[in-house]
Amino acid sequence: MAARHKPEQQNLGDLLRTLEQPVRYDVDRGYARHQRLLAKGTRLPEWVDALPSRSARGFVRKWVPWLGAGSLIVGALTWLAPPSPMLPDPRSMRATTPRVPGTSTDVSPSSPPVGARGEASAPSARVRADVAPGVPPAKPPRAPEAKLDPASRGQESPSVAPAPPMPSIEALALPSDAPPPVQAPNGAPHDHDGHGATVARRASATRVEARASARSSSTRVEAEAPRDRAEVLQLAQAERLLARDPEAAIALVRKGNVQFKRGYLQHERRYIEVMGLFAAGRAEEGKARAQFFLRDYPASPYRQKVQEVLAQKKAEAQREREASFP
Amino acid sequence: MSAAEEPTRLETETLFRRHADFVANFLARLGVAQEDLDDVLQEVFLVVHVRGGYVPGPAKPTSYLGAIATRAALSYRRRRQRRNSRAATFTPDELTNEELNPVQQLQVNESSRALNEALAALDPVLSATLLLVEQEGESCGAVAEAMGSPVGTVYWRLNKARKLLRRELEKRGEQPPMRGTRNRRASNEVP
Repeated sequence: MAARHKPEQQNLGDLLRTLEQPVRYDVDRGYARHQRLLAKGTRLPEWVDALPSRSARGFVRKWVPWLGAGSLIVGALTWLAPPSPMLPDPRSMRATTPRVPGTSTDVSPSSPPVGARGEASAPSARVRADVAPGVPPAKPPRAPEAKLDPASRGQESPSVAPAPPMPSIEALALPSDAPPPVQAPNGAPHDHDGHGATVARRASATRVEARASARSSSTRVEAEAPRDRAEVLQLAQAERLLARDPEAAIALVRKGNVQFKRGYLQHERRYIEVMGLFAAGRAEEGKARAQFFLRDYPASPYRQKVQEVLAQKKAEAQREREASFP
Repeated sequence: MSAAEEPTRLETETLFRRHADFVANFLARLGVAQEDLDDVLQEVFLVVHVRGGYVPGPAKPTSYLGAIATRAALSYRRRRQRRNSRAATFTPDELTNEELNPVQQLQVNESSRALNEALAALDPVLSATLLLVEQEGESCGAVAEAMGSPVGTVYWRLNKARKLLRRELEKRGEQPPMRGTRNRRASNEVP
């Protein structure tokens, strides 16, 4: 104990171990108070969700290295890619690029008509879109402007040719009497007057309407505060995960509890957490959380479901007890 | 998971009865004032109850409780700072040892007080790591598992805690220990 009087104890571990325990705690009284607090339904401390979860850590340990490696590869590829001129937003490009009869939709007015040689050397994604409009290309063209290079049309590898300066958005503006642009399901443009134009138009008409309504609803969501939107999206993701990966759903809602402490979806997050715990087989934890949930939200619409699950688990435990002690 | 599959799961009551004393002392070492000690301890065991007790794994029950107590102590310190009050450090009772004369006894008590103050002055995460490894003889792997941190982070915290503790002891006029002596057998058990 005496750090000054015993030279052989001049190290930290021994010094700390020789320290007397500063507190004598009355365990019986403390446990009685603990029981009273549980019965009373004391609120949980706010830091409870910041505690590590074994499953969340496993998930992070498993996927973070892969994500990191993927990010590095993507970053390296982006860095090594040839510089491209300043491009407008591809979505606005699709909306404003005029369709030239007899050619693919991603040809600008400044490009010459595509001959047989040009079609033969066009990128495969565009060829597939022209020949079989119902079949979406495997990948939308990353930089459609590269195909605008007249000099590169006759070459074997158009991707390595330097792209010419892009025409301005005003120059590409759609005429007022032009038909609305139609897109492939994956966002790649279709040929209007080509071989499969009619089929494509018919097939994608409903998709265009659906996209228009989706765009208006997404505009509404975007008009909200970004934080609220992130909270809603996170909750939706957690709900999707609940059925197939409850551990990930639990981890996500706990992260949400920390991230959105003053969020307005705490109730839903706690419900997902309770159901996730039961789904993941963590019945003891689930029971405790469910009791707190029922106490905190007595008028919850999820109350009945939580009570049903609780009753079911109770019956299962009873059956197991009876089976183990006949 | 059925009860038969997890026979060694420790429920809250068992944990409380076996380890409440450890948690109380641990919290006191992390700078929780004696008048607030029971409140913070109750918070810890409330969380233990909600998390369904202790599930055996690489972390020992003391590591598991220590990690939760560290969070509680951090939260407690923040609350204290918000109330603009000084973080109270625990002052141990005067210890008596019949082998020592009164002068030596006084020096021992002063050393002990200085060490407690130095520990309480550290960041709770650092002092918790130090106490769990040095005092409780936990392995760094077990502490990492309980705290949800990589093992490397635990080693880094341990190193930093030793350095800061040495500095704090020097500030208080104490001769700092020369080196840490983790229980080598335990510390090498990295999972």
